[in-house]
Amino acid sequence: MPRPGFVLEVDDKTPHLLTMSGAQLRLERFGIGTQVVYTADAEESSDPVGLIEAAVGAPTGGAPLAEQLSPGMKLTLVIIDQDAPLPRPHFDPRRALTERVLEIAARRGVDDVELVVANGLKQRWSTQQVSRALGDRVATSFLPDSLISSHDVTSDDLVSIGEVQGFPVLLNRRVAQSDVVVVIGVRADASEHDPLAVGLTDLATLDRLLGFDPAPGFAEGVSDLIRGAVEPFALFAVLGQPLLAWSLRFLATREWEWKLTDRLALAGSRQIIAALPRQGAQLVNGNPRADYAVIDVVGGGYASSLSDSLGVWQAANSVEVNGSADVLVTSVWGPAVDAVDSIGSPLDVAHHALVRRAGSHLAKPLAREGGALIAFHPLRNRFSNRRQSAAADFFAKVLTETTDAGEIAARFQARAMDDEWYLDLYRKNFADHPLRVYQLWYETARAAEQFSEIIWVGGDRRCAALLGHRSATTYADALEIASGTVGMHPSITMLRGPGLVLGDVR
Amino acid sequence: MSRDLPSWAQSTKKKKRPRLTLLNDLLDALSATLQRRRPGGVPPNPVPARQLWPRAERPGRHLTLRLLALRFDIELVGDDSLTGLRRPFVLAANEQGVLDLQLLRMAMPSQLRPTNIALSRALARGRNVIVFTDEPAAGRQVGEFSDVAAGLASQHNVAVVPVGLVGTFKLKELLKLPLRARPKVSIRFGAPLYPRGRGLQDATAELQRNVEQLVHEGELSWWTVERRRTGSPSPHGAEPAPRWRRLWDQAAPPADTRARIWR
Repeated sequence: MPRPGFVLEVDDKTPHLLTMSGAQLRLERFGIGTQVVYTADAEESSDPVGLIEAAVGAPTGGAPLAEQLSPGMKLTLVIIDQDAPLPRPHFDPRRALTERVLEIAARRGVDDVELVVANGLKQRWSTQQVSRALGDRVATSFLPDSLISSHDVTSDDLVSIGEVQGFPVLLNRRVAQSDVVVVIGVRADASEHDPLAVGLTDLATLDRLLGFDPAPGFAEGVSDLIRGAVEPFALFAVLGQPLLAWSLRFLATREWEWKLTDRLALAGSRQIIAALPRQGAQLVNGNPRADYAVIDVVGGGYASSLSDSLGVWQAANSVEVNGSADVLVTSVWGPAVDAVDSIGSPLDVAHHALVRRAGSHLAKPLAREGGALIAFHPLRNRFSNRRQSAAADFFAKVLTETTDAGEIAARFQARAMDDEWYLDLYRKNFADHPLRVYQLWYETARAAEQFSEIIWVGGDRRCAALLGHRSATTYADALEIASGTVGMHPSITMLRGPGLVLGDVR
Repeated sequence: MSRDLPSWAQSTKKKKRPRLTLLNDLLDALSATLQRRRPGGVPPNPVPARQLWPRAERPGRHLTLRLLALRFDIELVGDDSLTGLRRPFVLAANEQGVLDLQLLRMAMPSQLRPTNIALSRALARGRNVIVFTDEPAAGRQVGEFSDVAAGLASQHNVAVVPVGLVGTFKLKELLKLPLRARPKVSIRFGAPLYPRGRGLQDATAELQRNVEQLVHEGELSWWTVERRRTGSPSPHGAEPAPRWRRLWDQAAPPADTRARIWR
């Protein structure tokens, strides 16, 4: 059992604390009285086969999986892609889950088996991604016969399963026509989105679900409709905090517990990045893999597994925080934002800071209404030509016109959704669907409304201005800027480390 | 651009220059190590737990495998099965010749190399172990497993990895011949089994089937093997054959896949 997370109140004996800014690592002095939220300890994973056997053999609210399978039936494994954690897992639990389910299916004589990746608006999986996430055994067994497919939200082959509020809802054909559907996913955050609704439906439904102004009750209606149509068996692995390789292990260790080797590793990493400003960041932070302890595997009915997995993750990762702060401070580490790039694009970075980190709390927010957010990131104007073409154009052409989400939805979204180039990149070149950029911005804009100031320490001034935020050279400058709205003696809460914490604000 | 950005909102054009940070950081590291500062009210340091052995990694192209490849045309099939496996584990392989153990050990990285001495003690100390079949009966390629492998795995609650060795039959004698080609050797790893909580006979029978399938059907995919296992208990190609046929098949030249403009 790992040590739970806790809140450190900075005093005069507190050493300088680690902050991450894109690929940069530095030690920063924080003012006395700052509340620093530490995540639970990261631990090495163990082979989760025992947990999987228990979840499959004694699921909650239903018969064991083996009893639900019989020869001649149509079985589909849905691999959830929405909540895959970053940095990407060294041992992806979805692989172990998939292999165990397939072994049971083989033992029960099920021949008609296919795998569908519920990627929704995210990029469709390349063969390399399939091998990386699900392992060689699954890839070599199913890829040559095209039995692993990624869901295409623009496909003409989706089938209608009913209507919600007068709008038809289309679902992936293979999933809709299967006798048994097994959903396989991981739980690494407190997201309450329904991964099947977000991952396997059509474009129009997704636009209504996560668009600028989602209709009340529509998401619940879609979830109920899907559960009525397919009644899936679900398996979710609940993950702990990321444990990085030896060279970066100090990121998840508390500063006063650092050994000399940790300090030398930090010094070495900093020097590599400083000596090679372009390549060093990629060398140190380029696509690292982290080990995540599998806390539990929850199996059974889809709805109960989804809520149970959320409960387990909350129990393992929540930290009690004393009151909403005036200023919330967070690091943004590149590899936790983008799986490939060591720094991350400004749109992804803003979403990560405002939605994923600042938004990871129970009922009460980490920062009070009208407070300030200070984030550490250089905000470079970096976009991949292939993967992020729509995001690059959004940043260069849409945000230069307006940052207002309503205006963007009315003036620009429809044009981007019909753009042949973006759609071609989505269908053939493993890029995100253009609608995803817009939906991320709507979420970011909604989260930003809570703050009176959003200040990027070390951020590019033009990028920050385009996002509608501000930039400061140092942390002290950022506090001085924020003092205009939160006063000269604000209460400050800082989120420390690369992992996500769930703030239980009292 | 219709938005009116403030005049100071300019992109940073300055190119970053290499900097030296190491000296300052080393001095800081030294002073922090000598003068430890611990804030008040923090939880105590974690008590070091019993050290578990890390999960296994895929073998990859390590040094001894590269050296082995100088003398043998060696292939590792299904070695991805070892990825993420909790160590230690039991390897269960078919015995073909006297070089089986040495070949298998050299084909695996040092931290995964199995031993065949004092099996139970080795497992307790975190070392992987290997159990071979008996000598195969005349005309058969795979001998019979005793229940040692399943028993050990059950006792220590570890996995058994079936291993099919192909091409090591009479290898020592083959190496003495003035051959121009490197002998082909294939080491095929199957999906791990977990005998804990199952009957020894049942687990051993499944292990036997898996190893036979690996030896006879290594070219087929894992899913096909899994399905065939349930359909037909006796694997295809397991019928008795004369000894020379084994060597003949083993020495068959690889299919020429080069494109030719004339035949």
